[in-house]
Amino acid sequence: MDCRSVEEAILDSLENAGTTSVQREIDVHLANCPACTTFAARQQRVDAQLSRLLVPPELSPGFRKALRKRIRREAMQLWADSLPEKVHFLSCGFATLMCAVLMPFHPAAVLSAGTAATLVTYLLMTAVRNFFESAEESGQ
Amino acid sequence: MSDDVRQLLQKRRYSAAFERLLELYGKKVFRMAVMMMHDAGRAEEVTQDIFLKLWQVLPAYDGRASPSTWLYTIARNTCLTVLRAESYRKASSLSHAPEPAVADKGSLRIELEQCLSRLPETQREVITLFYLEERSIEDVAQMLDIPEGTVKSHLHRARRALGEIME
Repeated sequence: MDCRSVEEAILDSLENAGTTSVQREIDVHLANCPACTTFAARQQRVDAQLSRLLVPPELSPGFRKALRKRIRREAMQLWADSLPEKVHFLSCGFATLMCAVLMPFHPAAVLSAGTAATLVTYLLMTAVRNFFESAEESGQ
Repeated sequence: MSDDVRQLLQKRRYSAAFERLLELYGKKVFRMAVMMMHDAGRAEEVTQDIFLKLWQVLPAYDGRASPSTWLYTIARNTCLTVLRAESYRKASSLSHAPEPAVADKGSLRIELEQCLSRLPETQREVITLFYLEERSIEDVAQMLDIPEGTVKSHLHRARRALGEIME
């Protein structure tokens, strides 16, 4: 083994213990090479300092609780965001059905008119909401 | 480890998959965030952002990458976005003094941080993660999305450089 290979083997051994034969070769080389002996000692010092001083940080005990709280809030927000659409479609559907049952017109005609009215009012609602949202964003 | 998460995702058991990912990778993602943000408090907030984002996109998991690689990509991108936004804010506000990389630590640790700061970015990332991850080249490779051989070569170069700097 030349000096370069020994240096690489020394660095490798800091990550995982090498085979006994490689270790023996390193030891033989180190016995006759002061430069590589200095290198090995220096690398062991570096490794020891890094292991000692770079301590893995730990998450605070409240981390999971805080995360769950944020997820719950996010889920509520998603539900709240879609609430106007849900209410709109449910109430329009209910009103259309009631009209189809109670009004003296052909049910198919009432259902078509109800569907058209639901879609038109939905588009109007979306347009009004977009208008207010863009006005709010430009005001910020 | 990722296989059971993959199975849960295939069965659309998103809550269980999320809990498993949090259990398996919560600490690792946090360490990655600490390494990138240089501030444990801020890193914890960002780790929350990462897992919140994960919770939102979990149903969109397509199975191409392993769940852990996917999570680390989300983590890395989130950290980079936060760092970019913060550096923009710092650039626009001259009165904002930069926070020290390491606070309330011993002088030896500060010296070590100074030595580390002289390494190129990738070498610093690799060496810090390697020691924070308690010596797992496989984990570091997954986190940074680079081959294990590349992690090793960065690690070797970083150790050689640190040896010279610390002398």
